[in-house]
Amino acid sequence: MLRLTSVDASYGRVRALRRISLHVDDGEIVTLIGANGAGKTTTLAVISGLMPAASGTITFGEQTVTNWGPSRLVRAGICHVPEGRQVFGSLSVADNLQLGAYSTGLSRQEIRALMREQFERFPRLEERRTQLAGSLSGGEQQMLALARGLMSRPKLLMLDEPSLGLAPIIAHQVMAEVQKLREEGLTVLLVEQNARAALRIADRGYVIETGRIVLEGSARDLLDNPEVQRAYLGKGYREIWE
Amino acid sequence: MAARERPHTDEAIVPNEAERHAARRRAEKLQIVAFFGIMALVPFGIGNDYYLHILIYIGLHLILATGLNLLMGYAGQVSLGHAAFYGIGAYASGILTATYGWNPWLAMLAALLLTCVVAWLVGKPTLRLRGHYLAMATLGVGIIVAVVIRQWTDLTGGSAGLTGIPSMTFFGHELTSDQDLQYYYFVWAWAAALTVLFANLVASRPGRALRALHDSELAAQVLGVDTAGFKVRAFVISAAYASIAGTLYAHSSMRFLSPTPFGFHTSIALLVMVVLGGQGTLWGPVLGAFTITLIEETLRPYADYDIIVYGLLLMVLMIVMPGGVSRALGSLIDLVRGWVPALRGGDEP
Repeated sequence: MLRLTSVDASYGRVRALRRISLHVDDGEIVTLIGANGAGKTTTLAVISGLMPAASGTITFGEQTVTNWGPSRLVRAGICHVPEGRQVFGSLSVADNLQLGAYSTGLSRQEIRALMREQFERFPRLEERRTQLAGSLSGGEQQMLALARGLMSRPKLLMLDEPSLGLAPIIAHQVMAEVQKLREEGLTVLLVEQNARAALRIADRGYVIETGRIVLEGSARDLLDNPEVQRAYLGKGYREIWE
Repeated sequence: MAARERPHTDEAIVPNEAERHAARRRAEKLQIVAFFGIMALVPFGIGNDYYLHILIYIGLHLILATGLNLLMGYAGQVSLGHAAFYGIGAYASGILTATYGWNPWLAMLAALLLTCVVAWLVGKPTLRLRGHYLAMATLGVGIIVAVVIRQWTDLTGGSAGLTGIPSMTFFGHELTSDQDLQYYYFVWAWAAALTVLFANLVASRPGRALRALHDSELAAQVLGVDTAGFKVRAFVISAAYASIAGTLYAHSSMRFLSPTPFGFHTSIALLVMVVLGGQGTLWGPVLGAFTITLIEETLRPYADYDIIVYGLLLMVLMIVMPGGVSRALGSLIDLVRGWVPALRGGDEP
């Protein structure tokens, strides 16, 4: 469904991505793990058109979508839920959802039906639909960010650190929701610092370090990989230090 | 860009939400009608040309502050040189009518176009960048325009001023200088029209997109909102408001332009009007325009000390009412409503 072939990107003269190649197949959950500043968020930004790719190609479905604008990519079916939730705090929950369908060109009825769908998925949001999004709790805001993304009827959902700053139980619920979405046929590209949680629900994973993909494999293999365990899963510290 | 965004709806989608939205809009319309209705009656209560004069200035400041509010309260950008656009509007109108004998309305249109082009040229490159580059750029424009007005004596009259600006005409009728009352209504009609335009703009789909990008530019971008484009448009519109106010100033009773009102001091005063009144609200800049204009007029006798008193007043007001005067008034009304049971309910949506 999505394929990046040796994509480069840079912030000014700092190269952030070096020859990134990865692919996400239909119906998969693929996770991108790595430390802070490794290039996870940049990878998503290049895919969703926020940042230009200096070289390389990105294909989505049958189309080559390299350096398309964000609104065109949204209409093509790519949805990017950015890091830190980024809800529109001074707008109501309902207005937030409506903006989710901003680029779709859907009719009023279709938007209404989509909003209904989100309220069924997240009943909490319906209870709070006239409240300002800024007054929601962290978990509710993450649900809202997710629901807002789904308002564009995406084929590919890209989530950037959805569990960041959430209580473990809430983070768990978010991950469960992601799994449910996959069962409904959505394809997911998941960026996470919490590598363990991400690998548990993912089919495959990529490890990114200083802008390069250094390792890829099935989620199972990555979970068992001693290097990954040491660097990202916090295992083996005892062995190292003692 | 415009062709790609199919405008399918202006109000919210959920029925309940749509009702609330409509109720809010109705209340707003009522407030606008009531306010400008009162302003139409005010001249009958005062028999003094001086006060009428001040009210004309308040009308001009209202237009300026409302335009700036669109930029600051909705697009989340700051202009530190808005007086420059005010000046371009005033001087373009003044020069075209006084020196070249143009029809005032035609000159107004030309001034408006010129201002928009300048604003676009400033906004287009700077608003692509994240952060407050626009503030720096407008600061520069403010200084450049002030220097041009002062130094290009052949064109602008320099410090000596530009004289011989003809009166505004209205359907063949001359709004002459000894008839301040007519000009009062002319300016306030513009203020009313531009306030209505502002209210509609803010409540529309682009208005909501603007508020969204104020909250989170990243999220708005990700949803496909052309954030840079929206900011440029908001900036151009706010400059257009300033240009109109400038033209109205040029044809006001003095029919004389000097560089002083278009300097840095005015840019700051406008900024203060918006922030003090409450940015991002319909009535904030209106309140700000009244407050600041009246403070400046009251302090005039204190000559050199006025800037000190002005500064102190601003500090006190911002400490006491950090959200702006209009929000402070809002919470006061809520408080009173809590005390007086008869006032509860009613217009509450």
